[in-house]
Amino acid sequence: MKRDLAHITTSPTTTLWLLVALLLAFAPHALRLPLTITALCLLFGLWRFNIERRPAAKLPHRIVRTMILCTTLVIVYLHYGTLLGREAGIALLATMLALKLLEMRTVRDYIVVILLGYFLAVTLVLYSQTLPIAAYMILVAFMLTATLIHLNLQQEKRSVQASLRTTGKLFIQAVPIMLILFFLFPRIPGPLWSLPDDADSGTTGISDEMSMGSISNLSQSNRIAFRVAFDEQIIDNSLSYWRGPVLWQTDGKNWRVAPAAPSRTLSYRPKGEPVHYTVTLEPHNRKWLYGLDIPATVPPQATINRDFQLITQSKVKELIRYEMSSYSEYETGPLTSDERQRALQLPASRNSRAVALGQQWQQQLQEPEKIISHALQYFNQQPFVYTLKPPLLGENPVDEFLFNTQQGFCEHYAASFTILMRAAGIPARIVTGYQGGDFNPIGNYLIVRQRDAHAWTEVWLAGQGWVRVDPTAAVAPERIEQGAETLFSERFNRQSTLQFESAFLTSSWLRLRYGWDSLNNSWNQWVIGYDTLTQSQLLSRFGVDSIKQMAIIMVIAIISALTILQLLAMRRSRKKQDLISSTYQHFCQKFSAIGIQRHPHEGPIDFSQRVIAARPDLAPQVLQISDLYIALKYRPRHTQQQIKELQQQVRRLKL
Amino acid sequence: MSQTASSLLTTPARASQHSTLLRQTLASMNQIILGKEQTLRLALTCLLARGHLLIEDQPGVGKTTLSHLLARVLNLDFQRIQFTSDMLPADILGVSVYDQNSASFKFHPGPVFSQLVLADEVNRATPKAQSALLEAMEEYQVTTEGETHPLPSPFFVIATQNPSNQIGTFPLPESQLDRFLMRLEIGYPDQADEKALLKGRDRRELLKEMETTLTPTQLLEIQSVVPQIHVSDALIDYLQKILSFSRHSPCYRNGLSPRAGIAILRCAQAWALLDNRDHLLPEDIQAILPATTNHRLQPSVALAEEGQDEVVSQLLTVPLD
Repeated sequence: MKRDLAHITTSPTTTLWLLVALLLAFAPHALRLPLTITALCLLFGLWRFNIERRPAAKLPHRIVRTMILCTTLVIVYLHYGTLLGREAGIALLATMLALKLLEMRTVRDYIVVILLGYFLAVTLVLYSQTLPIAAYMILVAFMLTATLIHLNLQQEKRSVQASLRTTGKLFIQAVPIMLILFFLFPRIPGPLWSLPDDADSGTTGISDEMSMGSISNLSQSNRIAFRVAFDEQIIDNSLSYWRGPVLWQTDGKNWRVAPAAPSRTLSYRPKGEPVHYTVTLEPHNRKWLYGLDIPATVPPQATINRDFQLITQSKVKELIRYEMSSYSEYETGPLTSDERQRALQLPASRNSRAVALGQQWQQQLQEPEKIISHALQYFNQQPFVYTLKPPLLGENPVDEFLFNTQQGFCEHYAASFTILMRAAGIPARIVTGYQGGDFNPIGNYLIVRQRDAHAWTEVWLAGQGWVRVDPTAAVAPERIEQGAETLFSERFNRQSTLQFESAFLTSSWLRLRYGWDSLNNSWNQWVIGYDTLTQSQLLSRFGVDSIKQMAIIMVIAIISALTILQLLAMRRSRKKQDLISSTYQHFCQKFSAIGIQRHPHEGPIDFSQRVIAARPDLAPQVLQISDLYIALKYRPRHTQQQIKELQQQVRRLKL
Repeated sequence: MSQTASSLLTTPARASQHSTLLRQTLASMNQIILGKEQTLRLALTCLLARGHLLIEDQPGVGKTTLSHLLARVLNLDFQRIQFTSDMLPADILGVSVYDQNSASFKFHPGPVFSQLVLADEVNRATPKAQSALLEAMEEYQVTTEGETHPLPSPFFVIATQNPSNQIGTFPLPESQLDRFLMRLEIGYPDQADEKALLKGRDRRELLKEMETTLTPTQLLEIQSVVPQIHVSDALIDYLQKILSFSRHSPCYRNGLSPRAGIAILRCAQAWALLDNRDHLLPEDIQAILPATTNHRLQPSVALAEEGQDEVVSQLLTVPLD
């Protein structure tokens, strides 16, 4: 059908609304885009705003517009070196949208701009899918829709309130459809919008390499790594080691993972009862998952390797949620000769003093258990300091740390301890990951942040297999027992002079923060984390097993939802009609009391003329009522207000 | 529909322009045929609703004048066909004649190829000739010897017939009567009007001096607006009650057809437009109901004694709600 737009006209108010809505859609991008691009977009918007304010002003000429267009394209290209990809694409979209404002003349142009505005708003999720962004997007969509409705309202009925009201109604009506689509629309495995390649920049987290200082850098970050909900009881902080990459190879400065064969089977003998929990992992752009030491089950997305690390097929680029269980006590099997060799590997030329110390311990103490406890004592009794800001170390970092600076973060202790153990002939390796976490009492789950990043050592003992030894615990036991947050925030509090006041403030601030994180967690769990797997689980609970079945059910659901809406609307309009008819009948009854009976076939005009002929004194009231009744019953559009007025008029009519 | 209806609403200037034109047209028509305001209005309604008109009355009451008048005020080309008992379809539709120059048959259009056709005394002709005209009315085209010729637009037929009790007539069958949107009776003028008529100048001469008020393009435009007049559900219900009454009441031998229902609706819409309204009222339906139904309904045997008008007016007693 050809749409007839002739009756729609634009007005300065509409343009103003549109500009405000677009500004809202653009605002979050403005902070991210290069200054030039942001300035260009704002300039075009302001230009249009100025044109709108002065009726005499004209839109720029076509040649001018073409020149601006070319310049803009060149600027975007120079900035990014391409016109494709997320960053350049959004810059292009934003500038072209702003340029379109300069040739926005007809109603069609307005509609195009509004639709582009929706598109610009949607691009926000390419950066962030958090709750505040979602709320903001709804706001932007609301404004744009209000503009669209404002544009479509007839000139005489056009008002801000009317368009806001209609938009509100539309949004409320959209809720059931949104829910149906959310729950039933077939989810695409993997991210719905495959993030462009340049979307990874700036993600921090544990990597598959470690050097002295790499983890203490992380500990400055409050970013959430993952959240864990335990099925039963939350486990003790001192046991909550979240296993990540296992580092074997070292050149004395840097530590790296060794390639390990993946498998789905677990080769260890568990002891005791497993702990069950669910992890919601934030995207960290690496090919592994975190699990409590030591994983007992493998989530479907991953495999486990001989280092007991959970490995995924592809990088984790979206939030994922997986169920896990772990054993805190276990006994791994014997070492292969290859593994033994790698677990004893030492760089030839570096850290000779540390190596000598290790060899000395081996000769003195002989037994591995004794060597380990001696080493831990050594860390505990020597004046070692656990600090967030360790001094920089040179070519022989372990020697410098052990014998000179003696200030270090977990990776310093783990690396030195491992070197010492290897020198003493005990197979050892470094495990990185997270330790502890922050329990959220409101949501009843554990928040693990980047600052909880940790490194510890595993030594291999005959008869026990790999055993976790955390030298950091020997230096700063409170780090392991209470977690990084308490440790460092207490230090901060001690510096505070307003300790008493801040205690109250801190507790309410904490509660607020926990509440907010709990909200975010639910959002992640139920909205972002609602993926193919959860969907099929949910649907199979209702007996639906395949996408095809789901599609059929969805079609049926949509049709029935529309039918119900239609029926409701019909019922409402019938009710309205009944109300109108009964009010008019009341009016007729008043006259039948004085002998003027309305014939059942008599139309409202005929009747009003007869009444007026009999009672000319009532003419104005009768005409008004009759007009209202006609408007309500026979004219295409009427308002609730008119029904009320009809009722009032009839009530007021005194014969 | 709602889209176009709203475009009608948002152009009040144009709508009132239409209604001014129509009011002028009616006023000048009333100067020629005196005292027949309602009839003239109905005739114009019929034309706006794109329907054909049947006028049944005694000779000499102004049937032909009315047709001339409509042709004149609406600026339509006009042909009159006098129906006789020896008439053949070719006399109406036209014939193919052998053209020696081009060595082929060439179609010579008959009098029906005209925007307004007056079929005078249509019931004097044989059914064969009648049906030739009636088919043209229905299809808006003429097909002879395998060739189809479209009729001009607008195309409007006014047929007159003498009351069927006269000698030497072939009454139109019901199926063909149904194709006329309305049947009107003009009737004798009342005393005052007849006095003015007798004292005044010859009507035909007055006609020639008349100015046209509407162009065919304007007429087409107004015709296209008619179906956009808003009809509320309540009125559709009312119309259905009327149709159902005609079908179930013992007063009638046959009920009103769906085509009759559409005819009533269109006429009522045109009537509302003449009243300068964008919506239909029950009064509109009631106003055009007798004219649109009295040639379609036949009184049952039991009521044959009653006049046709009384029988038809039974329809007006159908309650509104």
